[in-house]
Amino acid sequence: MNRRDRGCERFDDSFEVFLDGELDADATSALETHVAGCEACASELALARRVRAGLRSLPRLEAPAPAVHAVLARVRDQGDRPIWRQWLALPRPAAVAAVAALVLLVVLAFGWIRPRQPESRLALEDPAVVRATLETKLALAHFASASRRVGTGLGRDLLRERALLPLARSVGDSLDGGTVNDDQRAVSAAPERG
Amino acid sequence: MRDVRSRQRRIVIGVLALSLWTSGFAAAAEQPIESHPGYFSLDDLGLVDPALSSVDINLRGAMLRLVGASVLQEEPSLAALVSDLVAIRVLVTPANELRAQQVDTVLGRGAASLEKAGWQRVVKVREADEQVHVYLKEVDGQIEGMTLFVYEPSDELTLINLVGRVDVEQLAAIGQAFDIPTLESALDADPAKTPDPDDRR
Repeated sequence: MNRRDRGCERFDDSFEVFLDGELDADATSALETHVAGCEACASELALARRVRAGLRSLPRLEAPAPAVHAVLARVRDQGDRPIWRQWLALPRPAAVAAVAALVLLVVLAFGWIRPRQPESRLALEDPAVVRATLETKLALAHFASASRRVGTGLGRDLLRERALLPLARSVGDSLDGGTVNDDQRAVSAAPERG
Repeated sequence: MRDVRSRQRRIVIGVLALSLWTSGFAAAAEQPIESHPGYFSLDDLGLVDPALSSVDINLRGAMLRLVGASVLQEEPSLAALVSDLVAIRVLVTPANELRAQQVDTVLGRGAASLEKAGWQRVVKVREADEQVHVYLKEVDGQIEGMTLFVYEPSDELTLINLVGRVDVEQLAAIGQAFDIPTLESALDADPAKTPDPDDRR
């Protein structure tokens, strides 16, 4: 018997539709052509036909009359009730299933949220982040060190630059006619170093 | 009760971290760091070979935000400062790896380049035993960047560029609390080693 290959797989969904007589003309033609040359698919189709014929040959079973009457009565009864009463009138297994589904939904939702919290923590505990944190601290330590080397702190320099020096400039300009150049001012703004 | 609070705090930190991370990506997507007014390329000075540097730090955008998020709980003031920064570049090179005359020339050129780009000079010291340049970039009354060159021929050359809102006093105050040798040994012991700068952007 030939093995079915990829060329056969594209007809997998066509057998039942073909047997129902609902396959369009082109697809039917393609299927028949393929089956004619493919022993494996011919065998599949024959099996499908036999199963179908076998099912059709089974005797029809009638539902017991009391069961039919009970179902119809229940349907009529529920059809007249408002939705909320139909819910309340759900048989116990259905109610239990509904509650269970609700609980499952909550648990799943909680479970969906919870794992993301550790994920975010994991992102922060990633070696690259840990290293970057150390590097940031080292950068600031060097910044502070450079600041100390410059003098008693850049903050004080900035205070001079932003508050005292502009005042000194305006006074100086008015006194010397602006002959003091920026370099001299900047150096004069530098703190005493010791 | 404490467990609940702790859990809530962790969730808040987690959400904050993710939002900081995503906002970092968004910010990075909006503006390349090179176009930020507070950016100055220390590498373009061509003075320092990072391979010879004792410290080579290059942190940007998303990674800085993750750093901010990671220290949010234990060091909130550091987190606040870091969250205002867009990039940190630090190069420290032992002076014996450099030629003093070349350093003098290149730092002078760097200072001129900063001034040409509208940086405000805060400190300038050029002496035999020390050379210091401190520049600020101000935009609409807000400090958007800071660049420092500190060179001691008997010790080392330190080049720093901080990009973003720089609170100088706070950064210096917080930085003083960190011990350089301790951090350097922690970094040396880190198995992750120095990742490629491109990976940290």
